[in-house]
Amino acid sequence: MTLLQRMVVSLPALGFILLPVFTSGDSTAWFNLVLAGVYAMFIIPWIALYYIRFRYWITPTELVIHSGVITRRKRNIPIERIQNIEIEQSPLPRLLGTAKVAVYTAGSAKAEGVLEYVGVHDAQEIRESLRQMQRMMQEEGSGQSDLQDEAFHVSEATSEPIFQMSTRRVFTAGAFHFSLLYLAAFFSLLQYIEPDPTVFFSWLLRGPLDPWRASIESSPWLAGILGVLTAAFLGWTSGIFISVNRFHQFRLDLIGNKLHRKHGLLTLAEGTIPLKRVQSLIIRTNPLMQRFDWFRLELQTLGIDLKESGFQVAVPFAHRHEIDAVLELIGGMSIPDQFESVSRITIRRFALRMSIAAAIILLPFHIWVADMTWGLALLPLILALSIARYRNMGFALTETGFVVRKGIFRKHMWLIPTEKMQAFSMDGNYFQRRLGVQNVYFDTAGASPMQPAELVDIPIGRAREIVNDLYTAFSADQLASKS
Amino acid sequence: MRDGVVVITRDTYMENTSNKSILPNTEAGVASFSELNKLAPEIVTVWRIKTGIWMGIFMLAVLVVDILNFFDSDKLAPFGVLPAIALIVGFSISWWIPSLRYAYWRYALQPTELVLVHGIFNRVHTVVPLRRLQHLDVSQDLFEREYELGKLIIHTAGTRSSDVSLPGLAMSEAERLRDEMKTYITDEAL
Repeated sequence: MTLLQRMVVSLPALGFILLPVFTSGDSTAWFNLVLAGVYAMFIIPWIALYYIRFRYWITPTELVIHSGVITRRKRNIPIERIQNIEIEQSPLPRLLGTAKVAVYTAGSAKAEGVLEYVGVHDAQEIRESLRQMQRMMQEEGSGQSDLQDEAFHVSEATSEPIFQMSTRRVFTAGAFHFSLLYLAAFFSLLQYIEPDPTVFFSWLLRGPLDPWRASIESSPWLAGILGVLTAAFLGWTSGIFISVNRFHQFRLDLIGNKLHRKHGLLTLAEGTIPLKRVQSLIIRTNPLMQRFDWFRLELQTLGIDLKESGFQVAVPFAHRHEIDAVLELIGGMSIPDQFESVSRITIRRFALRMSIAAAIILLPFHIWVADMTWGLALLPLILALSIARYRNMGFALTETGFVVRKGIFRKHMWLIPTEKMQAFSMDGNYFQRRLGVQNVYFDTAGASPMQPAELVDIPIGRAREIVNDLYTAFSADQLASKS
Repeated sequence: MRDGVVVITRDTYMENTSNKSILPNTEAGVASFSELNKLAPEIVTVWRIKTGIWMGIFMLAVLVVDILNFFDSDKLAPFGVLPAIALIVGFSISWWIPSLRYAYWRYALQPTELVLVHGIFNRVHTVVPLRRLQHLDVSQDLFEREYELGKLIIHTAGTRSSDVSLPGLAMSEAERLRDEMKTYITDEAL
């Protein structure tokens, strides 16, 4: 049955791609006109060329995508490797009746093949064809296919999700997700669209808000407080909005050995995380969230291409017992009851380092600019921070792995399965060696370089024991898995 | 063949996997040095030449500044003093640091892992399990070629230790290590 050797071309694509042309360059400013001209001269032909050059077809064994104008890229995705086929529709394509087909291979965080602006009908057809190919392959006895979509879609209706979020929960999550970042992004966008926001504001102020304006202008304090309150309110509501948009009807299913995740309001997203691709588990919280027993579970994953790694949110917002339940279902690691602390020397070292850093910043000011004796008042603060840091730092050796916990304001807990460790390392600088402490770090694939699960200032003897124990477990695990 | 390097095959690899301690039970990781291999001594010369070049550039920069300030009345020191200091400091740095680096560098290819210990101020002890190898490179730069030295670069899927390099090996040794270690590269899924 080699009937599907055909090329599918999408029609509504061009119009949609051309949309930015109509929205830009409506200003009278000559610069914008020039930009629009440049845009018209280069981008439109480029878009057209890209559209003409973009080709994809399905052969019995592969999905082939040719793309690119100057650098041409030919991508062949073996059908048996395809894990998940996702059809995504964001708001605008929804109106235009197009969809994005994303093809995921074994556990990669990013889609390996993306076909954008395909008609909805075509998209479904593509998915059906690919599935059918896979089914045929399985029947032929290759047995290599990882696809369990069929199983998923059959069981989707019946199976109980291992975690899902009610609307109320999504709102609560947003309420804790206070962030000024989106606000900043919003204002920069505003500035981009409308170069003179004062027009809008003066209209607003002359109209309904006129009495407010008078009182604000008379009192700088009121203005300050109002400003802060407005920012806080906007940050808070934008947090809620983002959370709702992202996690609306969040649902996590465990089917076979894969996690299926589905969520979103405007953009419906759907994803698959094979458990064997999970490198480590990260539980995040902050002091406020922890106060109300809220946590977030992320999975550190790795794609087939080693360069593609990512952190997948498995449980966006849940209580501890819910996280525990999910962890138990996923299997492998659990949150230990007891943590061992690092050496108390870490308080001293951290305080000293912070003080030196503060001194380096403040001393030049003190000598050449102004009196900075108040800097001494920072010392108790530094000490308090150091103690908080020590209290929050802990580790635990479990049967299946190693757990590291740290962070004062952003608390992280890494659950690192022994079998996923890549390299074992210990290091200590001159001062640490003098004080008899060492750092320990177990590297995993795709670990964040910005937030490493490194454990500092462990007594040297204990550090050695930990490395030895874990390495022994690692070797034993190897032996068990081979036999 | 250098002393202390155990030649291993796949069979002994599997036998040795069980319950083996990687770290000699010693204080502060210093005594375990005796059981590990040193680098080829020629690497000290290579490092000296390389640091020497950088220090030479630094010295030249100081010299240029000094010449430009030749007629400056209130300069820091008489003409020639600053470049001389730069020369002395640069020379001693490029003389001592490489030999210290050499003194603290140790490695060993053990049955199931590669152990690297190095660092003057910050001493790092890394254990790379052989089954975690992604690929291996042997590289040689201009100076290393002159002394027939090679550098072995071990790539793992980790982030911080995604490429661990082992410099200062005799080229033959580097190639031997590579050939031995490459048998352990597996397609094992992560």
